[in-house]
Amino acid sequence: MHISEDRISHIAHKIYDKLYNDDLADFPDERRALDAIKDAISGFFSIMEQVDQAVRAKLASYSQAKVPGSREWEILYQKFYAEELAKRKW
Amino acid sequence: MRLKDEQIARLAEKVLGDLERAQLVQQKQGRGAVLAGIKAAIAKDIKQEEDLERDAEALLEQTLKAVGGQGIDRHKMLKMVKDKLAKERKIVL
Repeated sequence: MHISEDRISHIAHKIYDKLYNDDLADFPDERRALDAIKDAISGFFSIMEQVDQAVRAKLASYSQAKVPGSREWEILYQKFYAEELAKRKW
Repeated sequence: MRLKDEQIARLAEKVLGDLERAQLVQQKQGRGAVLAGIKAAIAKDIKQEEDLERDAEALLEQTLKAVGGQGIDRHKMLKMVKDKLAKERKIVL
């Protein structure tokens, strides 16, 4: 799942603005808080990408390889995806 | 970008957890409210992106129907329509 730097920055600002404008939170250091939100989003998608690649590699090496996009492939993808997340304690 | 509700919840938890660990947030109405705020902000943005994609597809179909669509690179055209709508709606893709 690819996400651009601009999109990460855009979403980070939306989160920051929502919390601040709705009076849900204050940020003692605006710059660092925004950077932390961007880093968190970036880290999240990086892990999602790693999980996706690991699952696809596992499916490709599966003894009874399925056709990508088929119903069986999708079911196995979801199963392995959940296993991979659990392995990473996510 | 498509995220399921559980992925949005996980992303929101990571954002708040990282802010808390770095002591960069003062929560004024409790953790639950802050977490809900983060989830809402992400979900709203993703919904806007999904609406844009759907509208771009519809606009492209209309255009192709009107001009015939022969020899047009559909993928390239769709990207142009999406970029135009994104600019109009102030959405960053």
